[in-house]
Amino acid sequence: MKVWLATALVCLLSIGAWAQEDPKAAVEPLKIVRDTFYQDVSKFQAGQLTEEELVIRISEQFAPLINDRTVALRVMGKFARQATQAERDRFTDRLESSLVDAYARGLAAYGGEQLVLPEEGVILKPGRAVAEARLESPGREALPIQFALGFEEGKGWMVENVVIAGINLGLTLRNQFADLVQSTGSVTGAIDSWSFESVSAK
Amino acid sequence: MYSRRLELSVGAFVLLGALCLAFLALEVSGLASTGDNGTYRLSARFDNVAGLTTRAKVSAAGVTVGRVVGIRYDKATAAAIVDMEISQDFAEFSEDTSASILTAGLLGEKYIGLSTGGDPNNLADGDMIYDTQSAIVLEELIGKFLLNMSSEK
Repeated sequence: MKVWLATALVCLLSIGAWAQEDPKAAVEPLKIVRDTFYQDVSKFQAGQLTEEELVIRISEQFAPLINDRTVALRVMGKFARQATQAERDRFTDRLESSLVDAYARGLAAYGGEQLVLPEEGVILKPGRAVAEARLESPGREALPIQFALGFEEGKGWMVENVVIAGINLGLTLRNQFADLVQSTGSVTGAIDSWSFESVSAK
Repeated sequence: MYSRRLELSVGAFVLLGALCLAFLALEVSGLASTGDNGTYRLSARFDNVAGLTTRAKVSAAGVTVGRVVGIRYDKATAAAIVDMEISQDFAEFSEDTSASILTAGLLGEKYIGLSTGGDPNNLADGDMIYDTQSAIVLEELIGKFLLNMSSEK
């Protein structure tokens, strides 16, 4: 019995280790979410979904793809170490809701763009990869998008950062969080005033 | 006797001037030592390092914390790997630290700016920074601007 258990454990661990180094597995969650997004948008255009339902469905699809906790720490930057656990949790929630807001506005501006994903990502080291994609818009130059992916045990590959046309979004948001800390005078103040509007206005 | 003392004074003055010039050159070029407690090595992966050279300074919050000691091309990822020596005095960069290639002033030299993240674990000797912001190439920017202008017409 013990031998069977040990064998099963070794198999599970090796599958986990294999997944962390599989370049195809790294881009698979992105492909699933992208394809579901197109299906949902088609349903919306056919009148089978309301705009509100579409936003909810897309938020539900995107949420497991994005490593909120890691992204929140990345955005808080040096202030994350000064913040309490409660403040970090609160910022994770606020960041999540501002991302949902961003999806909704992105949908409103959606004009038939196609996200072209690579067949496989580039494994930088076990558990860390990048996927070089591009966003093709009708009548416009394709926009290069780089997804930084990290492997989370039990969750799989998740997006940790996005670089759009050479602009590091995580770093840009970190600078905006630092600006908010400076303008409000505290980390708590910056968390309270963090929203899609406050970030996009800066 | 008087002439010898005068010559010695002039010699000492010239030597002092030369030392001041050497100090100034080291400070301006960023070649001066960044700390007395030794260094550790970090690398960063950039898509484009346009204009960055070895011995360029590495700074965090405007403070020089190290310098670039090597730039190489990684065939596997078609990216540039920049090796940096960081002073042990600044050994608390989190694992999600970002590295950006910045320009001192409008047309100044390129340098690397480190911005620490919130990860509780710190980078150690030999670690790689993957979260980077590459150099912005002016020609590419102008090209994109012109293309967007023509597509909007």
